[in-house]
Amino acid sequence: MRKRTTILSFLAATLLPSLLAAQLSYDLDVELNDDGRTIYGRSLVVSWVNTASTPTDELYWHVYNNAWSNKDTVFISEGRYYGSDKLPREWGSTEVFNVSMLSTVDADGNAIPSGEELKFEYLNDVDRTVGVVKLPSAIEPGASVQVRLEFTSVMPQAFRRSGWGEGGYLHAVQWYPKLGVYEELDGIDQWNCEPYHYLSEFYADFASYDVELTLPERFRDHCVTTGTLKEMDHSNGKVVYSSIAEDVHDFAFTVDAEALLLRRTFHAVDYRNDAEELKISNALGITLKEVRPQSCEMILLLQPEHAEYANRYFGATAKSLYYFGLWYGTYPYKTISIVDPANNARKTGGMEYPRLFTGGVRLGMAERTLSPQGVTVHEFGHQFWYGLVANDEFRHAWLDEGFTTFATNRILDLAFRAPLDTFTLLGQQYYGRAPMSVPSYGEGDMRAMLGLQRWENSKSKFFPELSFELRHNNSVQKFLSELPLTTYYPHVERSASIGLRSSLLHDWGQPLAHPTYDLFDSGLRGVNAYRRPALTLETISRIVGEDVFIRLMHDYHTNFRFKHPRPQDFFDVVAKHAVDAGVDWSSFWQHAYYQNDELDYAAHFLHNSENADGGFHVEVGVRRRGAFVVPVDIDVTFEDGSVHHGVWDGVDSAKRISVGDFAVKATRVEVDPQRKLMLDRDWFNNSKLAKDVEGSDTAWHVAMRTMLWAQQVLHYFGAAG
Amino acid sequence: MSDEQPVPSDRIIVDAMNFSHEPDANQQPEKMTEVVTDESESAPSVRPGSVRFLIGGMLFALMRPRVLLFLMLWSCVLPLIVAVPMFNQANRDLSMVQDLPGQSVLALPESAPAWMFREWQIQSGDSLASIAEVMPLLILLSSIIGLLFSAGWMSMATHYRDEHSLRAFFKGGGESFFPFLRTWLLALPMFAGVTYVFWGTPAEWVLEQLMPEGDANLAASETTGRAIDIARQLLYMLALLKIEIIIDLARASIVVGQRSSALLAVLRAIGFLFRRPFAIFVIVLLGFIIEGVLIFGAEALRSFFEWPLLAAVFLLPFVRHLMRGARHSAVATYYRAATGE
Repeated sequence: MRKRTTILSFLAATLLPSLLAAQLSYDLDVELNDDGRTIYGRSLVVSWVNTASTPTDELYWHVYNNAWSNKDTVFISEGRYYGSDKLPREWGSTEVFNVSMLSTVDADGNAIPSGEELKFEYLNDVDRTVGVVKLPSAIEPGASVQVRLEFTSVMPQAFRRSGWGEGGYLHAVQWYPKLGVYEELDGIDQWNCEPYHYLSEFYADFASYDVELTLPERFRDHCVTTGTLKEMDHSNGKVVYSSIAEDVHDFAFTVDAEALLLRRTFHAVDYRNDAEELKISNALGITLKEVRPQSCEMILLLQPEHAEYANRYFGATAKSLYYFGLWYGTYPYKTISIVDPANNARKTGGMEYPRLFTGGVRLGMAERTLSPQGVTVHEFGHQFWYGLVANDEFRHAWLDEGFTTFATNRILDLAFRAPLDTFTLLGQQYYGRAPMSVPSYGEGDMRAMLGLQRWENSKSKFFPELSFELRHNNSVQKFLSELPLTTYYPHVERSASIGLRSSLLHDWGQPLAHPTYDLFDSGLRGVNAYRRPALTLETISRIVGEDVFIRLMHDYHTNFRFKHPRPQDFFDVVAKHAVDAGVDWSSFWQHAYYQNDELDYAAHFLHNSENADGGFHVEVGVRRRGAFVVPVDIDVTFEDGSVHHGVWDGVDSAKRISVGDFAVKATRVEVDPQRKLMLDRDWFNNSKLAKDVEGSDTAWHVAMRTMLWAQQVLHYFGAAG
Repeated sequence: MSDEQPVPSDRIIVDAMNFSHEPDANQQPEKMTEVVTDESESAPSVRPGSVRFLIGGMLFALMRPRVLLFLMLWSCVLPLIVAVPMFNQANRDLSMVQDLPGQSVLALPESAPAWMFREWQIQSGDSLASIAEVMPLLILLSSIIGLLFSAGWMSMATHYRDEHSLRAFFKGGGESFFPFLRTWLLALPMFAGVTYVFWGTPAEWVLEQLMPEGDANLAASETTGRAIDIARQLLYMLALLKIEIIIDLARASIVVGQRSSALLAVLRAIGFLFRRPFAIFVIVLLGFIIEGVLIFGAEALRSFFEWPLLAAVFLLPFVRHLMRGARHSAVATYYRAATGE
C-alpha cells in the first residue's frame, strides 16, 4: 500500500499540474525602453478565479517596485529600524493606470463582458507597495474575473534584489503588479498581501504567464527569463521575446548586453551516485529508473570576466538538479536560468525566482571555497522550496529558507570536496587558517595604540582629540606579518552541515514560530529562517534515521507541490512518518518551534569503583542543562575498546546511571556519541574521561601553532622597533 | 644593484667583515674620511657593493652565536604569554573531544576540522578573545625591545666588531636606545602620514577619478577595481618600507656618528637616500628575500623530514634573527662606508 501511494505521489511530482494554473493567469505585453531601466506595460491582463470559500469584491496587488520610490516606504523605514540607512542610489517606482474590468465568469461558467473602468488605489499612499482594486460586484467562490491594466515601472539602480547596473545590466523582479493570495488566514478568508517588508520576501499564487517582452536590439541573445521561449522576432532595432511559463508564482527576467549566454543540458546519468540512488529507491519503494531525475537545459548569463567560473556554475546547478530531483522528485520545468550579476549590481545576487536565480562570485576564488557553488546550490534549491512548495514567506520563511539551507548543506557535503578555510593575498585566495588573530580596534578605542594600529588621545585642556591610523591592515601586511605558509593550519576542512552550528553563536531571541517579517533583530533572520531550522531538520533526520527521513521529506514535498503549506502541515508529516522514533513530536515542536528552549546534554562524571571480584563497577553522571527534552544516546567506552551503549530519556535535569560491573575499567563516557542532536548547544561537554585517563594532545598542537604564529607576528612588529 | 660603482675589494672586506683591520673596540670608529682625503672626488670609487655588505652582515651575525641564541630564546619566551593560556584553554576544552565520523582531530599538526574551531568559538569565544587581547600589548613591547636589538646589532657592527658577547650587544644597544626610541616616535607620524595618503582623503580623491564615487563595487568591471586595489596595497607597503629604510638609515647615522639628535638623523637619512636611492633598497629587499627563502626552506625541510612543530619553534626564529642581524649590520656598515664617517 505504501509503495503504491509513494509511486502516485512520485508521478504527481514529475508533472506540471497546469490545471491549477488556470486559476490565475497573467498575459503581459511589455517593452523595455532604450535606457534599459524603464519598463512600459502596454497591457497586463489578469484572470483570477476565487478558489476560497467566501466571495470578495476586491483584488489586492503587490506593487513591490514602489518600495524604492521614497525614503519612507515600509521597506526603507524598517531598514532604518534594523540599522541600515542605505537608500537606492537612483529611485524606482511603478505607476498603474487605465485599469478596467474585461469580464467576469460566474461559478456556472456564464461569462459577462464588462469594460468598466476601475480605480487602482494604494493601501498606504507613502508606501504604495500594496494596491487595491474595488470591483463593482463580489466574485463568488468558483467565479472569476478578468482585469486589464497598464503600468510603467522605473527600475532602481541595483538595490536589495532588483535593479540595474551601469553597462547594460538589468535584473527585473517585482516589476509588474502581481496579485496577492486570497486564502484563509487567522480563521477567515482574506487577501494575504503584505507590504514589502525589510525582512521578508514574496508570496503569490501559482499562475500561467504569457509574456511578450520587447527589448532594445542590444539585448538580443543577452536575455534570460522565467519562461520558455516560444519565439523571438526582431525588427526596427527591437527584439521581441515571446515566452510562456506555467505553474509558477512570479516572472522575472534579466538582460545584460555585455554578458555571455551559455547553454548546457543536464543529464542525470552524468552525475550518477549509485549508492544514493539505491538508498532513495529502497526508501521510497520505487525503481532506480523512476528515481532518476529528467533532463533539463541550463542557461547561464555570465559576466565575461567570470568566464573561468562557467564550469562551477553549471556543475553546481547540475548536481543540484540531480540531488534535489532524487530526494524530492524531478525538477518539472524544461529550463533553469542562472544569472551571474554584473559587478556594479551585486545587490541583485543570491536570489531566487521561479526557473531563474542569481548567483554571485568574485575573482580570485580558490576552487575549494565552493564559490560560487554554494550560492548556486542554495538558490537553485529554492526552485523546490519556494518555487514548487510555495509557503508564505512573510510569516514562515523558515519553510523555504531553512529547508533549502538544510538541503544545500547536504549536497555540499555529499557532492563536493569539503571546502577549506582560506586567507587572501592581493585579491587571490589561498588555503590556510590562522590560529588566532590580533584584535582590531576602531576609532576612539585607546587600546588601538598598543598594537600600533591607531593614534588615539582623548580631548583635554592641552590637546585636541586626535585619532589617526598608523597602519592600515591590508592583505600584504597581514601576509608579511603572519607568513601563513609557515604559521597557519594549512588544511582546515569545513563540513557544511556542521557549519550550521554557527547559529549557536547568536542569541536566538525569538522562537521559530515568530513571523519572519516582524523579528525584532535583523540578525535573527539568518538564524531563525535559515540555520536554526536547518539544524532542526538535521536533528530530526539523525533521530529518525535516513530511510524514514527520505520518506517523510519526499511525502511532504510531493503532497505540497504547487501548494502553500504551513508549519503544521510539516509537523503532521513528521508525526505520521516518525512514529517509531521514540520521540514525542508534539513536545519536540513545543521545544524547537513554539518556545525558545535550549538543548544541551552533558556528561558529568565517570566513576570506576573496584568491586570484590577484582572487576569494576561503572557509574556515570549525565546532565540536562537546557529545557529541551529529547531521548539521548550514551556510550561508555572501556579499556579493551569495547563500548556499552544505552539510551537515556533525558527527562531529569541530572541523572546518576549505574552502568554495571565489568572486568575492565571504563575510560570515557560520551553523551550523544553520533552527534544526532545537532541542536545541542555545547558538544564539548558531551565527553568525560575517567580520572586516570589522559586526554588527547590536541591542546599541545594548538599551543604550538599559536606559538609559531605569535613568534612571526611579534618578530614582524619587532622590526618596526 | 645596477647603480653601484666598483669598489676596491680590500676596502669592502675590511669594512664589511673586518677580520683583520678591525678598529679597537674601545676606540672611536675609524672614519673613512681619514683614508679618503677628498670625499667628493672619491665618492664614486668608495661606493661599496651592497650585496657583499649583506653577505658580510650574515657572516657577522652568524659569528655571534651567543647573541643569536639569546634572541632566539627571546622569540620563544614572549609568545609564551599567549601560547600558555591558549594551551590551558585548549586543554580544558579540547582534550576530551572525540572525532566525529570523517572529521578527525588527530591530524592536528597539519590539518584540523573546522567544526572544532567553530565549537571552540561558540563555547569559549570570550576566553579566546581575552587571550588575543594581549597581542597588541606584546606588539608594543616587541617593537620597543626591538629598538634595543637593532641598536645592539648596529653598534656591534660598527663599534664592537671584535666583541661577540651579549654584554657588548646590550652595551651597544643601551648606548643608542633612547635616540632610537626618538626615531621610533618620529616614525609614527610618518607612518600615519603615509597611511592617510593611501587610505584617507587623498586616496579617496584618486579613487573617485578612477571609479564611480571611488567605489570598486560601482565599477562596471570587477577587474578594474581589483587592479586598483592591488596597486594601492603594493604602493602602500612600498611606502612603509621606504619609511622603515629612512628610519634604519637614521639609526645607522646615530650609531656610526655617535649622535643623539633623532630629527637631524632622519633628515640626514633622507638626504642619504636621495643620493643613493637604490643601494639601500637592495640591501633591505635582498635581505627580506633571503630571509623568505631561508624561512620557507627551513619549513620545507621540517615538513620533509616530518619533524614536529616544536622544531619550527626554534628553527624559524634563528633564521629570522640571523637575517635581521645581517640587515642591521649591513645597513650600518654600508652607511659608514658610504658616508666615510
